[in-house]
Amino acid sequence: MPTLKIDGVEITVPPGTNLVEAAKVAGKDIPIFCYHSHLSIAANCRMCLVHGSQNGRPWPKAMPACQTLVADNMEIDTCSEKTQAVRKGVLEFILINHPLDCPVCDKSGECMLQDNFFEHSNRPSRFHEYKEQKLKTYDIGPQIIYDGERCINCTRCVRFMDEIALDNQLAQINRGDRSVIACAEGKQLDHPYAMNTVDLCPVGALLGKDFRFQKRAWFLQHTDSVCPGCARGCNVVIDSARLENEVYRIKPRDNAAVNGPWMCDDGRWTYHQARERRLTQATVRQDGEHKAVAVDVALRQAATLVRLHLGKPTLAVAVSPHLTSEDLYLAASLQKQLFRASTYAVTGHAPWKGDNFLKVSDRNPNRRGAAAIHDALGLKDVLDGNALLTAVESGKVKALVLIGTELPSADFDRLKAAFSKLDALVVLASEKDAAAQLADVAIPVAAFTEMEGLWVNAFGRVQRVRACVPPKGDAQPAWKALRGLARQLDVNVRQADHRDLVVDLAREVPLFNNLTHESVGAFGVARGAETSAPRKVGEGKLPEDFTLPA
Amino acid sequence: MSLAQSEHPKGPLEFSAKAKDEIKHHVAKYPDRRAATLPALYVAQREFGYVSPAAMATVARELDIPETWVREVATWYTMYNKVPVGKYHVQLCGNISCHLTGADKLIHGLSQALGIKPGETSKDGRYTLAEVECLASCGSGPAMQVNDDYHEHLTVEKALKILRDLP
Ligand code: SF4
Ligand code: SF4
Ligand code: FES
Ligand code: FES
Repeated sequence: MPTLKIDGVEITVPPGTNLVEAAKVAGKDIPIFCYHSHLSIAANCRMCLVHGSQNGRPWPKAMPACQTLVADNMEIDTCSEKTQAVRKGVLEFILINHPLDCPVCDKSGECMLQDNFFEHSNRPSRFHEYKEQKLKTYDIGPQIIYDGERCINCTRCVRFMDEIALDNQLAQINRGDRSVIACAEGKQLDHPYAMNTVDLCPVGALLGKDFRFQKRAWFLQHTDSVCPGCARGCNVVIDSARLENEVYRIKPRDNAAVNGPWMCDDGRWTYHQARERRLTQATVRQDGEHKAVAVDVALRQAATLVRLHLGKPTLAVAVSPHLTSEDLYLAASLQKQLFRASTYAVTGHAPWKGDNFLKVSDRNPNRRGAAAIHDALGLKDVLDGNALLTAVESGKVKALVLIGTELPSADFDRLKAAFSKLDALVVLASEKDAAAQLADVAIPVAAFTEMEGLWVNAFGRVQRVRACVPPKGDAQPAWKALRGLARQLDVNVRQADHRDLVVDLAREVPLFNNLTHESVGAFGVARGAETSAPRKVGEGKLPEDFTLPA
Repeated sequence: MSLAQSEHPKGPLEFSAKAKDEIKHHVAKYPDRRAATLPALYVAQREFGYVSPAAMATVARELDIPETWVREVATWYTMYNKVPVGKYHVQLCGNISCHLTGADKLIHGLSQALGIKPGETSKDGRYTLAEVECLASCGSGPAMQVNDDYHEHLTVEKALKILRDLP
């Protein structure tokens, strides 16, 4: 393996490593724009130029570190005045036509051009000519706005579409200072993974319409969590505003074992369900009207309704595979010692069409976890959501407790007809969805942005969901609401807090053996031999039968 | 500003059988179909008069490559006309050697005589005037290229006669 020196630090790295990556090993940072570890090398921005020598002979000129591979007896200098002078020159060139509209640019505060400029140049421009005027706020696609003046033509976005999305929708057109990014004439950047180009763009040239003008980057705090959109469970960062406890966006977080640095666009919009249409107050139905009440009052009312059916064939309890494993574990133990319902079901959204990149067809993030818990606790004959609805429709169920309201059908009329057969409908819901609107008692619970817990993805990987904002209004984690309900039914839940639940879960359910939140950590733990790693770059064409979900 | 380089001609374009053969011949020369983009674009320019977005799409279809690849190439090179040109595309060299031998007088003179500035097309659609960079005829300037033909050692009178004698 080649041994080389970077700023005097000797390192040995595998052959084929480029100098940007090698520098990281040596604890040095080489500034970049166009380089991205998951895309091909374009070496067009020249930000990474460094001076160096080989076998003691200095290179005739600075070389792009992203494109230069390590070799024995190389010496690289990443911070001498000579190298810094090159950087200043490159930045001066890149900024000649840059509009400097940072005050109104959403990227401001997390922009690589700002960062590199302040760190490596920070000197006034010597150009006094007029700046080239180009496409501005151009509607390049349904989700994305393009700004040709801010674009530094690094082609990261083009390469993403060519190499990862495998759909050549973007082109770098025209030449020199007129260069801009565009689609084919009359076409748009329209792809289920298009928003990744926004993450990749080092400047504010590609901006998502969803986040545009919503929040300045420096007001955001970042929480490592997991996407609830489907059973892959892409690792994400959830950005929320510190002062107002509101979520603003979801971005992918690099985990080679799950999603790489990518995620699908649908996954990004999931935060809306945690922000909008929330159930923030408990309600009970009185004379056909929903009345907002304190959570305690609602729990008491729920207990009264359910008590008549405990242990009887008329009771059904259903849990959602969007709940944390802790919630599901508590629900399952209560089923054994308290509810003893003759119908127990795992609900969940109806599947969507998966693709051969990230999306898997099951749209529920924790079905694997639910199955493992139910197996371990010996719950037999667990129905799925459709079977549950059929049972309710048949009229044999008289009381239904829905713990989480993700149902295979969102058809209000169908649900209304089904639920009208019930004497009692108690729901623990985060959203004011059909079930919450039709319930006799609705108790608000935390959305995925507000809960701590473990999910198990479709490939058996245990991952950690984290709360980034406190529950809205009177909402509380589902397990707490369940514990409250149990208390009203005269059963004391053994576990005093969430930690106790995790301990019991880890002890009693083999899939979680020996796990704690800390040991699961930010990147999850694989249980079983399956790998969930996504398709790699350059693995060739899409299969013939490949179709993207509608 | 709009991205449209020009208006779409009505309806999709289609290469003639001869043009298709020609493109096949070019494709056969390279290991990779994409490499035939440049010659195919020339064929398109000749067939359709100029390289409109519809012409780019037709090239992409013929080569079986993404439209974006063709658009990148066509917009990069100035010698593909992205807007319609007159019957005679008069390209006058404005580079240094020709300048030393009187290119400025030539450009100015032709401009006046034809009543159009460089970049414009005469009303009757006969001439488009363009000032271009070196035509690689530096030893014999001032030089002019009319469509595919070169003319050298020009004066305003000589150039005008050449243009007026054209069919
Ligand atoms: S839009 Fe952004 S990612 Fe694409 S070339 Fe321009 S600067 Fe690079
Ligand atoms: S593929 Fe699934 S888990 Fe990943 S971002 Fe999309 S919806 Fe979320
Ligand atoms: S990062 Fe190396 S040239 Fe752009
Ligand atoms: S300078 Fe005119 S042909 Fe070269």
